[in-house]
Amino acid sequence: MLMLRRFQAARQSSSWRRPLLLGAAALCCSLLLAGCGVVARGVEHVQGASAHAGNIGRYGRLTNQELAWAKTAWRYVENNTNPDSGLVNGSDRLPLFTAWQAGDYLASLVAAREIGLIDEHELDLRLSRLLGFLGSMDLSEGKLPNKAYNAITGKMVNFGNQPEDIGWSAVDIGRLLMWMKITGQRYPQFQEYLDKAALRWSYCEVIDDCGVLSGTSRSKGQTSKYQEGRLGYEQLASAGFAAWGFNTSLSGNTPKTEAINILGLPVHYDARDARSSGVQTPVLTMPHVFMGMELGWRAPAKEGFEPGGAGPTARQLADEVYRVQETRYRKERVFTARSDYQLRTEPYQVLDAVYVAGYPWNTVGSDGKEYEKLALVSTRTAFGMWALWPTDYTDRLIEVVQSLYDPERGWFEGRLEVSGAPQQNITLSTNAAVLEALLFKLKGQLYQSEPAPGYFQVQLADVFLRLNRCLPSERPICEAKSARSSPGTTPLPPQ
Amino acid sequence: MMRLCTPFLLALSLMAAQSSALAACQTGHLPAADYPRRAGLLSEREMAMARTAWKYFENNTQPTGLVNAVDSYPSTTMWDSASYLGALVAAHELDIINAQAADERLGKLLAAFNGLTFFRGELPNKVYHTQTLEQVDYTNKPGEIGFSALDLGRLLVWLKIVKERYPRHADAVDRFVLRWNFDNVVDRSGMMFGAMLGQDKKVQYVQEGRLGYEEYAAKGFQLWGLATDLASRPEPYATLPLYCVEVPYDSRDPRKYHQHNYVVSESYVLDGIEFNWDLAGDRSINDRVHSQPWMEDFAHRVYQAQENRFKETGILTARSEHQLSEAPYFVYDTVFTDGYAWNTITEPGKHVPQYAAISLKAALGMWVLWKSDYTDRLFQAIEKNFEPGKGFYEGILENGKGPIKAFTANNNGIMLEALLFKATGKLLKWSGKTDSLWERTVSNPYGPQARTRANFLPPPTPAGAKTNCAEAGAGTC
Repeated sequence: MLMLRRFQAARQSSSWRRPLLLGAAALCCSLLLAGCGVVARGVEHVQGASAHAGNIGRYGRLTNQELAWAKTAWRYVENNTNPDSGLVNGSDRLPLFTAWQAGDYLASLVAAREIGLIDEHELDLRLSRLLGFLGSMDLSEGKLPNKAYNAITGKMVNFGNQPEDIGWSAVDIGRLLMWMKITGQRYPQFQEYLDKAALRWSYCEVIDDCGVLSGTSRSKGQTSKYQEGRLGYEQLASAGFAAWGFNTSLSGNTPKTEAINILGLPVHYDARDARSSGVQTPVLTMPHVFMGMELGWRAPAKEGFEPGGAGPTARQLADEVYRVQETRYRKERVFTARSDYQLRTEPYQVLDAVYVAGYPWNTVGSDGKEYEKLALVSTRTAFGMWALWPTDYTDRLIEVVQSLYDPERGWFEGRLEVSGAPQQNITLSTNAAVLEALLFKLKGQLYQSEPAPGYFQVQLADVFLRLNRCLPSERPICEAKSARSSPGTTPLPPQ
Repeated sequence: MMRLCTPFLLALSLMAAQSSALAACQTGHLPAADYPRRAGLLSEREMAMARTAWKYFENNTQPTGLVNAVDSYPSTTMWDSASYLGALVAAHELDIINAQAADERLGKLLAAFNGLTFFRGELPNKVYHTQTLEQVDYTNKPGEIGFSALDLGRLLVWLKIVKERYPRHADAVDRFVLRWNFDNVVDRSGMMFGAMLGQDKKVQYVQEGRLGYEEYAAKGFQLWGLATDLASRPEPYATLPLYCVEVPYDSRDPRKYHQHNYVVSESYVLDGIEFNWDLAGDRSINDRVHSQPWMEDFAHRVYQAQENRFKETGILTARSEHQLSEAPYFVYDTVFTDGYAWNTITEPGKHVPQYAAISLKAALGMWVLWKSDYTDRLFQAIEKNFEPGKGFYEGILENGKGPIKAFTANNNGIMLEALLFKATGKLLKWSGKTDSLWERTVSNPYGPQARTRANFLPPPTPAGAKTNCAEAGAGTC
């Protein structure tokens, strides 16, 4: 029965998978009839596929080598867990983490458990300590998680690790919300406490009635608020809020885009003008990878709905970003797996993009300057592409990055395109993404629809309980009628 | 509940798929390719425009014979002097001035040209003082600064047009061009170079020209017998999709080569009205056939992207480089440049979107080359943007802040050219004469012209061969 359902599902999936599954199904039948032992490997494949949700990407049990990759990544978490607080450093030996990295830690934890690196007891112990933090952490202006926390004390800090309330990032909070949701779905015994953590926060300013996301910057007691997120990370963060029931019609769909041809392929990018806003609109790989692994490029809580609006869908955007990188390798023989990454020195944040600031294969720092020499074959990007696009090219990408680790400390950020030298920064985000990619291979789409309402929904359904935190139930209906529709062709006005 | 919702959501997602299919672009055919050009006698309104534009030249002609490039500022370039030649020919042919006045002006101008000192004795300097005829820099202070291959190319186009139309002045034109030393401006591969002075005051020759302007200016050198193979090729170029049109741009990276790769109307408009998008040496008088099909196609694309932008956004669009009445005084106001669509930048590359404007010369050029509802609207928008005693304004700002109250020879000159094109078609008209001073001199194997012989094209095919070719039918040649 299970077999049959899987087969039907496969018929709707993309074409490359079809012959493989048909072959597997045929093998399975012949096993039933003849009891032939040679086909055991085929059966294993089919079992791997049936445990794999969502019909995209690589699937199946992890090989010994893949398990070793996962162990290396988990090594990072073991090394960097602070014994007193139970919190994990955002980069190696540096006791500071962001809300995004709190989400990374949740993802690593779920992956380590399901891949079998840790037992039930260790998961429980680690998660419980993190829940303790989430349920009591200081909040920026008492509303939302601060951009950074000290991993030893759990106190709000600035990026210099000095105590300070510096404001929140909606994109970071989006990722944390997504992983709080996924963790609760997969471990229902903890869902109540994750819900309680989410109910502590006030959502009035981070997301509006139609889903527009805002971050804040605070210095010297002054707060400034800004619209946060551009195509890619905006939609990913928005999905984190949508998973908790927020209306995200303005941020979940594809915004107005422009297109550029790179190596003959169209690549879409956010049309909001970077020159006037100062906010870059890079085409990066990782947001599309997370959207694929976590959501199968669909909107959470809406079965089968592929967000896109009038523009390209999330799946089309992701395929574009993948394909142009593979094409660059085929035409120019340059291994390409690009995304954003962190540095410990200036310019600290690198947008190593498929397209940014007007140019393809451009690498820009957070200061807006170009850093051609910082272009990277990014480890986490290579793993993400490998997990979602099972191609010869991603097999080769993995060969490029598979030894980029310190067995005692974890995976490096990547390999410099200019010379091949390793970029030896070691971060939680890279190691967590490696674990997430391997978990995805094993289990498929990570976000699942919820079988029954939990504590969060029960609270929201209580009409007499007014939390005044702008939760989904406390909001008016979004009235943006032409929410992000692309301009239609209008006839010439009469003269 | 969830299950009940599913069909609704499915329908929604189907609608989304459909609407994105609708929003998707139709590939292939460009409406612009079907718009005819405007042709015929000028209406009274159009004649009034021509007279207004000519006002600029009446005001700004110096006793030397040169015309100020910008109103009341005694300085000009070879490009702007070519625009004056265009204005002069148009004013004469449209009967704004009589033959005697045209003759007198032309004679004075050519006399001035023949009295110019050249940059390092090679070629006309980038800038001259219009009252003293001295070589100057961009601040109009005496001193040679280099030469521009694009400016010289456009001047060569107009010297050729004048020579063919006014045989009486052919000798003076030839004597001027015979003074030019072509050694460094076009190399043996047919690439064009400009000259500038480095910090050590040494001359540097730098490849000059980007898609559009490069091929247009190269035609000027071709008309005088120089081979411009590499400059005349559209490659290297790439395209980007703008409002459903794949728009070609020069793919040499501005960050590496320090030259903006701007896409504007002007180069394609000039090539259209002066050459009918034909090859430089094409002597056919059939304006319906364009013997340089890629140039015609690229022109349609640059036009269509601008019309489509108007249809999508309601912003009237006719982009070109243009003057400003305040600092930074000059901008490249483009369809695309330096990585961004609809980019408006200064010479050093600063983004100045507040100066995006309808360029009047671009608008009128588009109006005459593409007869469409859209160019009718452009015409209405620009028709009254002039100052009676001074000429047409440079442009109308896109942000609604009114006209750019600057007056230039290039803007008013190209507007006159466009009006003449409506009346008479392709501006380069061949006289059929082949025995001018220039031809006789360069065919002499001795003398100063012999040294650049390698660059000159083979002599034109004898007339007999051409007849045979015509008899053999189209497509065989």
